[in-house]
Amino acid sequence: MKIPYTLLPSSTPLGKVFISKVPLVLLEFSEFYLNCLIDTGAVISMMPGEFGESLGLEINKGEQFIISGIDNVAMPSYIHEVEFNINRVQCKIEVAFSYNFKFPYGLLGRKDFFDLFKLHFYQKDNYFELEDY
Amino acid sequence: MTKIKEIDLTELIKPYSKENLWLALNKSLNKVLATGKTMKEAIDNAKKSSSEKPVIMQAVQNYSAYVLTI
Repeated sequence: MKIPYTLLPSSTPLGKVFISKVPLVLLEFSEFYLNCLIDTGAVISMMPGEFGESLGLEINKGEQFIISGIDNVAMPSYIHEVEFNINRVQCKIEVAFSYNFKFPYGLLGRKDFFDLFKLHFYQKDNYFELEDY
Repeated sequence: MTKIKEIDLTELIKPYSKENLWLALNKSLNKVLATGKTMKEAIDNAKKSSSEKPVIMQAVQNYSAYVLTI
């Protein structure tokens, strides 16, 4: 499936404003869709704890991990198996939920998600593609 | 390869990004159905104002990259 890139406002640490072109995917749950960024640098998919609560999960009952970002800040996280659809394709992946992870959307990392699809990025042509294995 | 048009959320998000509001958007991503100070509030408000299944994301001024490792 071909999915257009999304344009979002961003800025550098020195305050220079620019437009980011990012690969966002809509994950369909029973009551809503969540926008998630494909992050080839992330080992595992990650979402704010509040996302998990909205999915009806008891976050603290998941397996606990300490996950750190590029700034090496440790975030207590809890792993849960999550099911959703992407354009009617059923997906099941492990997601780390953390209340310390304050991000405006979820991240789709390599574990599980990258085993579900072959990922092709055509940034110059403004789209990326998820291909079934 | 055929070039396709990006989804441009920059203008749609702008009015809500100073307060970092959570947005419930329509699936075409061109209309704000509801907002909330929390994700839950945005979902609840969307249920009240629309029968459409909303797309949830937060409006912020800077969507910088984030890299994770275990």
